[in-house]
Amino acid sequence: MVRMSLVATVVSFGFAVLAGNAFAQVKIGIFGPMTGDAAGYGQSLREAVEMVVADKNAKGGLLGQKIQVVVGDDAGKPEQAVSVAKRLASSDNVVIMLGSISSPASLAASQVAQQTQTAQIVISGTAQRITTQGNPWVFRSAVPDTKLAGDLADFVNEKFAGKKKVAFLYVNDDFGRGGIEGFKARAKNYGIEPVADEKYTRGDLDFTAQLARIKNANPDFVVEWSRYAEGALIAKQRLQAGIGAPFLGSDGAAHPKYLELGTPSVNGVYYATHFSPSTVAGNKTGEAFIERVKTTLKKDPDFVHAQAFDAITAAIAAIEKAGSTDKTKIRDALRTVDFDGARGRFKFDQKGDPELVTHIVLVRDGKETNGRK
Amino acid sequence: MGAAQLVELAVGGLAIGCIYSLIALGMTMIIRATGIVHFAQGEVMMVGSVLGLSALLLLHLPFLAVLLVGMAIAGIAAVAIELGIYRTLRMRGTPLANIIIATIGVSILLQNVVQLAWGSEPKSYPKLFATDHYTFGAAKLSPQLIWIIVLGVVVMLALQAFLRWTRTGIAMQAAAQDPEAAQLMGINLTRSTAITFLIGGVLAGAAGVLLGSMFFASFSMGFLPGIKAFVAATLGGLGSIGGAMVGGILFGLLETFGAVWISTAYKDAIGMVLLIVILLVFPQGLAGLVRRGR
Repeated sequence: MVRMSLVATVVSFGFAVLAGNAFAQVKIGIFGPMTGDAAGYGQSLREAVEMVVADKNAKGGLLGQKIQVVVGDDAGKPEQAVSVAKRLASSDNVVIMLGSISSPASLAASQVAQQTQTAQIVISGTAQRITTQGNPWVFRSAVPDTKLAGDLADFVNEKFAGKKKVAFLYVNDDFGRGGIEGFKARAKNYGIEPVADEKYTRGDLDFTAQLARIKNANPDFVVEWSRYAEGALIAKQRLQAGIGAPFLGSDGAAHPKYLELGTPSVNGVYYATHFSPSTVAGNKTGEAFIERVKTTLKKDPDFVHAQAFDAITAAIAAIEKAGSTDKTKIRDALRTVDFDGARGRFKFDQKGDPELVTHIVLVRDGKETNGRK
Repeated sequence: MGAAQLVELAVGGLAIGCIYSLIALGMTMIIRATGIVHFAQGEVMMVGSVLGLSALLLLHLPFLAVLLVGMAIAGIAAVAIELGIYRTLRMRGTPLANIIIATIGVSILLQNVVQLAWGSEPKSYPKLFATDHYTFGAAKLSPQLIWIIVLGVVVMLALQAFLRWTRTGIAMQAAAQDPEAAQLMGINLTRSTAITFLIGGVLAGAAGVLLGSMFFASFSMGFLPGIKAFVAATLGGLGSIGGAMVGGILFGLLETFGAVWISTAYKDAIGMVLLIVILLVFPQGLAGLVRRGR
């Protein structure tokens, strides 16, 4: 009997220790591509979240407990995102999860968010349909593609009032067509008329034909939806073709390589971006965020850092507001968070998308500057 | 469309056509000599382009020297592939169809090796010419395009001279036309085939440096031009040297003008439709048309 009770004591003590560990921490799950082609983005997500969490824990943690970050790797693949999200929500018992980077992986994981009733904040997936599936558990930190393109149309209307003839030049895939559709939908409110609609195949190098047609259409401005490599070539070739009309590009151009490959031809090009250090001036949180990344990580923040920073800040604010780790209460609190983020005043709209104004950059002397100024 | 724009487009189409011609020439010479459809020719071009750029950045060579370095490197790479892979396969009696499939393997292998060793991001050539454009009447022409056409034509003429007036060139022609008879006449077939690959590689290397200087150098740059050059070679008549030259230039012009006059959405489709039509009417390609006319 003595032996038995000793065993029982040890066992129950062990359980108490385990249980103590398990419940003394608020677990937040993050997932994204930690390996594979897009591993750099997964790395940025992890760095930004761990930076914010370390600060919060140093200041006493959350609800009197320490925050623990659980990291999952989806390798950028939708099927892997599903299994990683399941593991986070079920066996790791996270109270909220942040991820993923690509739209397909984020969308796939959102099914798990609904099944397991765990709020998900998508970091960088911009496909509009992620938040229009009627799933109340999904939120997003990135500005969705249709809003980004629409905000560009607003910008044109403000900046180039009276210029109504637009030429489109875009890559003939979901990214290019989606962006141009988004622009058209908003631009028709302003009476902006397309005069040319030119497409190219991904990987094309020579845009002579497209630019010749655009030149003949004589537009007031050109909206161009490309990734950075093609975008830099187009910037070069538009000058050779002698097109003087302003060019407005997409978030695909918002990559350091665009400036590196395209300078000096990219000077004078405007593009929409998810985040740029040049456009945060005046936003104290944004400036502090840039400083913090520079001192902690010894590098310039990229857009994933900024999106992840706002997502984890929203998550912590919601948990504090909910006052508990009840997942439904956290979700409801997310709908009401309202704070100064790295990219501006941050709150979620009805769909779960952020109510941010898209940042627009103007390239001057090979550097990004604030296009709205 | 004004005359100036017509000239600008024609020069653009000619320049890209010259690049297709240079790749297509290598393909067509290799087919004549060995029967191999060399799908890795676009990647040989890419190797010349990326390593030419590396030489430029490391050694600060002038452009013509970079062109020669790119040509030499691509030539050596092509010979190494021939001696290391295709010749070994032929010696083991591998059927021709399998060797052709092996060329696709070589194409993928080269892309991956360059991606790992050189990086997956495109890199741009430094600005090579002081002026942005030459002005001819109302037409503004990029110096790059003019140089591509001039150098492309020079390289192609040099090839013709080599094949017609040098012993090695004549031996190569003979070996391609009738290998057994050529061997009986004392021509070393192994050597002749290796030289064919060398010249094919050199031409592709020239295309690579020219294409890279016009656009970017990257590990994936060879794929689309390689396929288009193959189409151009078929258009001209596979195995015909004159056909490859004309086919490439014609394909470049058609692609450019077709896209401007019909639709840019069908830019790639226009060239392919033309290929199918020409093959339906003249199964031997344009070279068949010339032969029939004689």
